[in-house]
Parts: sequence; C-alpha cells; structure tokens
Amino acid sequence: MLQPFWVDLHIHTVLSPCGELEMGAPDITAKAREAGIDIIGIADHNTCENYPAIAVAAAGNPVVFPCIETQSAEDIHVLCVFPDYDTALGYKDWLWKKIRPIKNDTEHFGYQVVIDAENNIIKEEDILLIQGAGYEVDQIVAETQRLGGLAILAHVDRPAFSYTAVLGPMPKDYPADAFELSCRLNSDHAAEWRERYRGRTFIRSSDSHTLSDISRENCTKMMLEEPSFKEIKMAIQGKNGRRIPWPWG
Amino acid sequence: MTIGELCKTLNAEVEAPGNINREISKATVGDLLSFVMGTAPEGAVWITIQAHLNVAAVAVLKDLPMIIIASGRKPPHDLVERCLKENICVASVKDTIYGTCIKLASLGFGE
Repeated sequence: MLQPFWVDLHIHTVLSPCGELEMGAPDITAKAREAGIDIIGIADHNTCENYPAIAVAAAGNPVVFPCIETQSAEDIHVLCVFPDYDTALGYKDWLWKKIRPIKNDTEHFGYQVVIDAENNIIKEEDILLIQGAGYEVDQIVAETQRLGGLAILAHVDRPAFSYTAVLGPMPKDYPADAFELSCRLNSDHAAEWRERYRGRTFIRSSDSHTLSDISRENCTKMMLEEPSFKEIKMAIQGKNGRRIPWPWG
Repeated sequence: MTIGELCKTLNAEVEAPGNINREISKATVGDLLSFVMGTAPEGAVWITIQAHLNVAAVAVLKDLPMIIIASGRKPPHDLVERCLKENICVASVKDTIYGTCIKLASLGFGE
C-alpha cells in the first residue's frame, strides 16, 4: 500500500566547507527525526565520505542514502543519488580522476572533516571540495545513471551553480531524472517552473547547511510502498503508481 | 602599473580599492569559476562578467589582487564586502570584456 514519506535528498555535513560545524552525525539525524523526515540524502560537494557516519547514527530512522552534489566543469551542480555506498564510492573514484589537487584554505573556506557516528574526526579532507571537476554536466548525468543512480539537476532556479544559470534553459529531452527547486522559492514561482517544464519531475530539497534548514516544509513528499531507493526511483519516474505530489501544496 | 593607476586609466568605478599600490602586469579572463581556478596566473587582474560572491573566493585562492566586472555589471553587496575584507580590488567598467582586454593589451599587459 502506498504511503506518504517525507524526503530530503540534499543535506550537507561538516565535510562541506560551507556546512556549519553543527552539521554532525547525531545532530542531523536527531533533527530529521524531530522534523518528521523519513528519508534523507547526505550530499556533500564532490564526495560522500560522511555517509557512513550519518547512516550509523540514524540506525534506519531516518533512512539515509549516499548522494554527491557534483560540480561540473561548467560549474553546474548535479545531485547524484546512489542506491548504496559502494556505488557512490565507485562514482567518486571516477569523479576524482578529474578533481584538481587544489588545497583547501581553511581560513577562507572553512574545515572539511570526515567524522564517525559520534562526531569524532576521522580525517580532514585537504583537497578543496567546492571546485568544478573536469567532467561536463552531460557526462556526470550519464555516468550517474550508468551506475544505477539518479541524476537530479540541483537548484535549477538559482542564479549560480545551476544548469540554467550557465547553459540556459534545459532541453525538453534532457536526460536528467528530475529537477530540484530551492526550498525558498515561493509557490507562484515554483508553479511557473512546473508550467515551463511540463511533464518533468520536480523535487524540493532543503540544501541544508545548518540544522535549522531541516524541516518538512523544505522537502518533498513521495508516495511509496517503503522507504527504499527502488521506490524513490519509481516515484521519480512515475512508475507503478508511485508518485511525487507537487511539493508546493 | 599599480592597481590604483589601472583603475584610473580604465575609468573604472571602484567598489573596493584593495591594495592600490600593488604592481600588476598580467591579465586573465573567464566567467566559469572552475576554469579560472584552474588556469589563472597568480597576481593577475581578472576580467569577468560573473558577479557572484564566489568570485572573491577564487580570487583569494589564486592570489588575484584585482577583479574587473565588465559590461556595466555591478558586483553585489556581499561580493564587495568580501573583497573589502580580503583587500582585493573590485571595480566595474562599462566596456565589454573584449574592450577591456584591448585596453589592457595596449598598456602592455601579458597573460
């Protein structure tokens, strides 16, 4: 039987230089539970190494998926959602063949730390994560899908780091699985996007960098049988009755 | 020439002065931040139409002491604030990127 699940696939952790230090493992999972969110995606920039910490801290509530907010050569952000950590790591290996060895400057960008489920620091990532990899957006979408992941164009309404900001409107047949709209978009503007790209699947995500961003209002309700990757994929593709109600009420 | 002299010569509207006495002789151009991050020579003036806060971050990373925002575009408040803090010059010019490059070439700027 289909039930509503609240899904936020775009949450940053302390591994993102722009993520606040409060974005630790028990903190994110506790906030997601408190907010009544069933499924979260841990989506740091160009990496996924804090997924295990959050997944252990969550212990199944909420359900956690490894995601990578990939930055393309054109500075377009793609939210890549993977069914499991091994697949995400396989994708990361491919991605990091074309990440330049630019060192992070903690003074200007902040810290990038990999943690465990109790927020103990395991290592500090010294390569700057907020940089464009040497792959074009089309290659990133194709590789994500080849590995069985979902490629979602991130915050397409934003004036920076979005497909539209760099390359203009998305082609009608663009092979991305879905488009993400920023949670702060008002319902009138969101409706304009739906009208402009009829037939496309839209999701709403928090793109959380602080705990206070995590809330039901900032995520997407999905009608699923269970909180699994397979079900999310069917909902995004509108298959077998799974569906995503319009996230702006 | 110095950053201060270059601002005057280009008739630039200076939004943040930066280190006006610093000598500058190289230029780089680009609107894709990742591309500039990968290719800009240190110490160059950067001409772009990209007026976003992250422009300052790239300038810091590559030690670019001056940013020229071309085609009459204006840098947003947060970019100006950040440049003031980082002592980076940010100035806007009415000329296009191409027009600005012609002027810089005539002044002897290299890559």
